[in-house]
Amino acid sequence: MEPPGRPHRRLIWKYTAVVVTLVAAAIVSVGLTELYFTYQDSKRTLSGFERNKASTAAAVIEQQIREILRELETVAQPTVDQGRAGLAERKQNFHRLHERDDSLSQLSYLDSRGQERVRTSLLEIDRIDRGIDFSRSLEFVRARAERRHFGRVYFRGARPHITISVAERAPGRGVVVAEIDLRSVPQVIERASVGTAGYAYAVDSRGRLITHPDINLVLGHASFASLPQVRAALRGPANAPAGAATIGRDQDGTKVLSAFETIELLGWRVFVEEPLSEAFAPLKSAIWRTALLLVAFLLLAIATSVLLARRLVRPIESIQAAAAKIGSGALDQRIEIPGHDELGALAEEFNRMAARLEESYSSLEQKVEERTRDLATALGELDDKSRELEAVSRHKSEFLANMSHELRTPLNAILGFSQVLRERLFGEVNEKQEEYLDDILSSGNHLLALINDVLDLSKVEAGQIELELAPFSLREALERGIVMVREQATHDGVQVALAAASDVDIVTGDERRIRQVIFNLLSNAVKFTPAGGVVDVRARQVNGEVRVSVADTGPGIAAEDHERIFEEFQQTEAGVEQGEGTGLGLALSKRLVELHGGRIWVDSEFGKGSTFVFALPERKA
Amino acid sequence: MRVLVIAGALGVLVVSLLAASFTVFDSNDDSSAAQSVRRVGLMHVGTDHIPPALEPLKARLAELGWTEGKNVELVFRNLEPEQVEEQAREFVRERVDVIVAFEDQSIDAAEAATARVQGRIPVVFLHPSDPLADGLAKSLSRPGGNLTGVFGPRDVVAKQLERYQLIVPRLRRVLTLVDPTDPRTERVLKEYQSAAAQLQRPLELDIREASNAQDLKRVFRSLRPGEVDGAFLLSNNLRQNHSALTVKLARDAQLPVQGSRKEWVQRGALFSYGIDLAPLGRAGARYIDSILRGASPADLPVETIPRIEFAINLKTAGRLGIRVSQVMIIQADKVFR
Repeated sequence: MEPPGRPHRRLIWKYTAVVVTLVAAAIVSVGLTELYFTYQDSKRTLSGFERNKASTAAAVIEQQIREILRELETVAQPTVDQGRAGLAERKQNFHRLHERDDSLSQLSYLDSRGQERVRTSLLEIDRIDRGIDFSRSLEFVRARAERRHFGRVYFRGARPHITISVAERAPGRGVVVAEIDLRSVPQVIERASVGTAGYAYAVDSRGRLITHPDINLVLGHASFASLPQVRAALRGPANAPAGAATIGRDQDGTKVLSAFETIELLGWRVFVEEPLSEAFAPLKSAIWRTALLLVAFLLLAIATSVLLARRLVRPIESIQAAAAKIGSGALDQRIEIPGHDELGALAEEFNRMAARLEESYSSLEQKVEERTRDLATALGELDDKSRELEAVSRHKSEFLANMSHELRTPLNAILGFSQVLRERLFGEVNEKQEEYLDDILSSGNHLLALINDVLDLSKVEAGQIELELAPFSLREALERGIVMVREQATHDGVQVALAAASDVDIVTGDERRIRQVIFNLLSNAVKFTPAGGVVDVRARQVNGEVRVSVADTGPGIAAEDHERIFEEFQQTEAGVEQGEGTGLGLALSKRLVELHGGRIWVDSEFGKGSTFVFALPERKA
Repeated sequence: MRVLVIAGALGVLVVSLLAASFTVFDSNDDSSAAQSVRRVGLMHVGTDHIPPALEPLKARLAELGWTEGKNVELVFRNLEPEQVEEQAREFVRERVDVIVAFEDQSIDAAEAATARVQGRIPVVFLHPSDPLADGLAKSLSRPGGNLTGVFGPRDVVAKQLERYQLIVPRLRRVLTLVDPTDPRTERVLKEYQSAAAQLQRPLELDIREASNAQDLKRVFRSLRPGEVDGAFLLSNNLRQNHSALTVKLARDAQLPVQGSRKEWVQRGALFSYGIDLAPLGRAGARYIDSILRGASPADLPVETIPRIEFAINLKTAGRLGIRVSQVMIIQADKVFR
């Protein structure tokens, strides 16, 4: 048996699962869509923003470099005087340039042979004709070939420095070389940073850091060439247009949204980056919002579905409980369900059914009661009747017993005196007298036998017979029975045979009564067997009982008479024709065998002889 | 009834969750440095002045989240030269978290004091003469020891000499004051002498030794009128400890004298050409911050501040009868009139 609560819970979970699934699916799909579009929007916006910043910074730096270039070009002009005065003029020009722009930390003029003629510096004293040969230096060779040359970035302190050389305007063939402190570059780049965690940095064409918010990286000569976004940016040509922001990594491996712009003139890249965690912070709060909405609506859904389920399940539960009570017999049970919905209708229908059941059940009870009363009355009557009958029967038996006794006494006198007369103790009797005496004797004997049988029978019926049980030899009893009928059999020309199995011998019983039964059956058999017939007596053990059968070759007994012949005063037509027998022998035999706990029956077919069988249970001694 | 209570509770929960879902999640927690008060020992030799870098350093530290008295204690000691070694040892004994040394003598003392102990206390140096030549750092990008800091070109003596000549065209012979006990004198003197010879109009140098105030006074007293055209304070120890005195002595002797930085110009020196010290303080604060937050000085590259400032005092010039050219005045970053 399932506990009564279980179906309830199951239904609730089914309802809950359905509602929750629906709600969750709705919220998750809406949330994911929103997140996707928010993500795309954020990325697009940020990407544009970062790119603008990078482009602006790159443009500003490029503008500054161009300004320096322009300044250098103004001093890269041939002087009127080619001698000392010309050099002094150059020095003055350089000084003016230093004054105007102190980011120029050193300026030098190399003549057409690459010899340094003038050098001015913020940190060292001015030198004229130091006699140093720069003819093979990169700044000289390249500037002569390409009119201008940008050297590699190097650092003095935290600041990037660069050497720019500009070829002298024709007809001069010299070169002006400037060492420039790019101190404004970090400031420009720093202004390009976005957000609170965002930052900007610049790398040169080899990926080496020019400026970075973490000054230690710059001072430590860090290279960012291995960062994916830097590698990708450096792979492209210097004049490639800036693309959309990509997702890269910073030096610690944190994912960043990164955009860059190239400073075309120098081949540098300006990167503007923001950690993804910050860039997509709005997205994060959207995710949170969706998650919380999901939780909130799931809770609502659970609560709703539980309440709904309770509303639905409770009536079903009470119907179930009522049905269970009715099932266990409480027919007056009714369901009360408010509301006029299907469940209300079901409850009504159920109540109607219960009412009808109760009605028919109570009428049924009434009928049963009546019948029982009738039956009791009838039984009472029957009881009285049977008591009466019993008394009558007892009176009958007593009467018969007394009667037999009373009859036997005069009969004994008749037989005795007839015997005496027959034996001529009181003188001769003539033939006629003798003949009548024989008739008297024979009739008297028959009457006596009749009376004895009646007496025995009535004793049995009155319960006056008591068996004297003792072991005796059945075989011997059979033999003696045969001896008693032999004379008659011989006289009638009937052959009597006995076949007893070797294991049949001593049985326990009332020997006199059993012999009476044997004799009865044998004398019947001899009596009804025509001359030349055979009476076959057999005894054997079958299933723990001893069976004795007496088979004759007489006229046989019709099947319908098989029962009747064992009743008192009932004879077959053959028996009636025979004119002998009292009609009590088989009835008495039956009673006697049954008193022993045995059975007696007949196997016979009309015209085919009869076999009477009686069986005695084997008694333990 | 119970159902109603549960439904009510669920309702409240749902409403609060909904409300929470629309509030902004602000993960911008300000994890300021540390709970305990950290100690920073600052040393400076030169009792005639307060290092100009000190205030910018404090200001920058405050910007970085280190409030004096709240989460950091700044112990500043302005010292006479003979006190510096004992003070360095005291800082080590007290196991301050960082020692900040403002000039060469403090740096040397701090280096010596911290070298002896296990778990060497980090030292941030400001304004050393030459951190590589003096063995303070293995390299500027990777110092490798317990010292790191900021380095500005202190001794652009050649350029100073050149500038001197440009401002004082009559300059021929320069009284040069050196301290033989300053280990860096030899190096800087060599550069100075070489520059004097390389100038377009080479200068004669009258080199006199002085290790203390008495020496200085004696030197100035011994000068005959017209013997020199100007004075030059070369050794760092002298600049650090006796600038004020020298300015006064020069004024008394009617001689121009160069100052090591613009503060001395303001107080009467003719000109200065050298590093601006205030940015050093700001840069130094960054090292203190990094170290207090757990960085190792060995990994913090030395920062160089190359910015040179040119200051000139026209009042002094006028008093000495020096006509400063317009070019010089234009070039000056700071002009005191």
